Amino acid sequence: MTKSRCRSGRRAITTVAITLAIAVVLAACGSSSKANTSSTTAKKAALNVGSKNFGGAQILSQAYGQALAAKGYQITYKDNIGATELIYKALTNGDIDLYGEYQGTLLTYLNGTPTGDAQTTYAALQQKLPPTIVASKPAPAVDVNGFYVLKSTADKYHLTTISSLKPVAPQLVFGGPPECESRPLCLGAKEQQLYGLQFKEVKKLDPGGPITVKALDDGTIDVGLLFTGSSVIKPNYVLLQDDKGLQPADNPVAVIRKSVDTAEINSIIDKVNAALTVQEYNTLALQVQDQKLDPKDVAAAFLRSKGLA
Amino acid sequence: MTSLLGAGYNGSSWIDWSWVNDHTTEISTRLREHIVLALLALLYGLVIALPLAILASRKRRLLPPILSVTGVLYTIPSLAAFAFLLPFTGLSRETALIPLTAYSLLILVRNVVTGLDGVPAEVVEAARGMGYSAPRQLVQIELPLAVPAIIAGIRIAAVTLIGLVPVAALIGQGGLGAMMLDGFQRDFRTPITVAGVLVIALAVVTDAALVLVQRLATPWARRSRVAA
Amino acid sequence: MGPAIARGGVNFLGHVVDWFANGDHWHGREGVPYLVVQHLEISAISLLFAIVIALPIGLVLGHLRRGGFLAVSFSNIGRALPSLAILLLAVLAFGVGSPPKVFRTVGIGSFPTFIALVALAVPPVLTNTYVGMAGVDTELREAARGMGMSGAQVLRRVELPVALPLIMAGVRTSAVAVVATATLAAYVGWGGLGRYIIDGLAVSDNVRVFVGALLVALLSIVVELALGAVQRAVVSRGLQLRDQPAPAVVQRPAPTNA
Repeated sequence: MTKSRCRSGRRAITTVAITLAIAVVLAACGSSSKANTSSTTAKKAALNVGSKNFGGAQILSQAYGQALAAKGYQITYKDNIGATELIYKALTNGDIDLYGEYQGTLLTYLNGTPTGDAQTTYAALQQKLPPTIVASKPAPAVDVNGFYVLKSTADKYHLTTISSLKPVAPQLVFGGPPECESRPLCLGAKEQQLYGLQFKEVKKLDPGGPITVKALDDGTIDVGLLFTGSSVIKPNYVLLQDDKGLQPADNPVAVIRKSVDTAEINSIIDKVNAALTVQEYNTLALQVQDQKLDPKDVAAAFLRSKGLA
Repeated sequence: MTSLLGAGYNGSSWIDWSWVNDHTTEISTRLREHIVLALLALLYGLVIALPLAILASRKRRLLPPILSVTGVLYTIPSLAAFAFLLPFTGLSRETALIPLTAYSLLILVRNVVTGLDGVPAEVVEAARGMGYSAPRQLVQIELPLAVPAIIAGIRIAAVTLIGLVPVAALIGQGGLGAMMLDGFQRDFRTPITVAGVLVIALAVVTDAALVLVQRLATPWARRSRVAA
Repeated sequence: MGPAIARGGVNFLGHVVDWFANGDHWHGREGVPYLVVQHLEISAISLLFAIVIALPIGLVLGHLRRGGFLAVSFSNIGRALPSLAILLLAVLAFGVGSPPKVFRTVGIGSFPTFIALVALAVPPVLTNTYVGMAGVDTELREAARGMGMSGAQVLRRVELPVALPLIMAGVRTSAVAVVATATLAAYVGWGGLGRYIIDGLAVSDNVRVFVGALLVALLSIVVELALGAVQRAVVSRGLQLRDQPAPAVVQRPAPTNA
């Protein structure tokens, strides 16, 4: 009895030990999933490119990253990090080296005052950025916060501008990104200063994505915050005019850590930005949001069509 | 430009198979991330649970507090657990791995203790009588007999972990969960469905594989009451 | 470096305490009481629905001792049920809120959340009810039959009371899973205590994230303990399940699945 117990005991332990060994090997193999670095002749810098958490921004970061990769830089992507509050911190921390941002939003986050003019906003941004961070020249495209209502709502309350929203706001429900109430360009300080909208209820949904769209469609909210350049805007949505100029020139810029920045990188990014017109940006965004194509592929096709990759 | 891209995919169909076809690389990458995370948590959990459980089964006084504390911790929802660590470890893999290891640990400690407790007293005494030293007794007699319960624990832990990993996508670490969030942000059902099905499939396969391991390891236990 | 970290930690906890001390955080739609009630409301309703669905099926199947393999496999799959996927798909399919009026009056602010929670809560109740019923001693059943009880009477007067501990354990497991997953629903625009976590993440406010985590953890623990007390009260003394390390089916409550 002892002998068979011994054998069975050993068998049990052995089987478990082998299983665990296999598991450890699997884990080790799976962990070291670094892509094989193809040895190119030029040894250029390795860069971490991050992206914000909505389609338009992801296309930007992919475009910048792939354009750089085409010139020999080793790019690693960290996608979907979050809004400016999160990703800017990641940049200053060194977790990422570069990401696609919107200059008006960033300037506001840095407590600056953007205007509706791209050049003055850019100049102001350069002043506000710490010495360790640089921003590329802005692209012509714009992607700003838009206050949208359904056509039926606009007709009912005679809404054309955001100012016309003010008297009826207390009867209406608003939906936007979770960070909206603390964002000056959304429902925060600057908006309150210019328009002073007080809604019946403010729902925290998502950054210009399907939750806000669906909420607007089914009447859960009356006014929705979507992005004019990269959200899916349905034909029956009405964009309320920003008559008091709350929204700044929110042009795409690449924000980079100065320590990795070079003249070549700047020139590559400038070329990408130069090709990003309002129309182009919009088309790209819809390809991602509407046609469900990957930002990666959309950016690649865009770069190729402009001879940048 | 569109000709380079193709026609796009159908957002509202539950599975658009053309998307699946075009994205096999991405799917397998996410799957691998998912497996690695769950596996690491399982292994780390086992490494901590074994000595802890052996200690608890020896020093009976420690058992009730260990079980109560682990029971309480187990109740904490995973999003909360990841969120607890976020201020300290940031958006890194550790923020996901530490709580996952903790959950794995909690399940495993209980089951290892059950296993060790299940060793008949006569066997222990017989071993003592035959001159087995305490370490030899543990390794050659008690642990082998505890293997069915240990494997039952590993099964539960593995399947539970596979189900928990997606939540970590909310802090940027989620394997198949990242696929779910990506699809969601674009109003695109297919990635979500595919990811969901794969999570379940992974759990079922893992469970079956571990049942096999259990049968191989302890054939004598087959006829007695096997943990469901 | 060590003391600096400790000081940083104490500093942080100081902020957390300040957050709780701030009166604003206890009023209105984003205040603690409102969100706690909202959280509990949908959890309770979803759990009730799940019980209404799962209990009869489990009772009948268990009594007839049919479909055992299914019920037990259900339990294992249930542990890995991707509730995040269900939640996200439900939102894409049904939109974010505005459930049929009847649901709204009962306090369900979000139909997709409700669906996901019910889907999540059914397996543990179903499995445990089945196993509890099927596991009743054959001798007991036969004795009851011998005494002239009909099938229904055996179910009601013998099997059900004996199965009750396991059934209650299943309900407890479901309850904690539901409360936990309701936390997740804040990601899709719902409210509840998860709101603090999601909003804190969105604006990188670590204090708020931590506060949310704390409150959610506390709520889950309270629910688990409360139901434990209910279990002890409801199940007759002789049938109490002693608190043992868990065998495979009588699950300890599970953390949030996704």
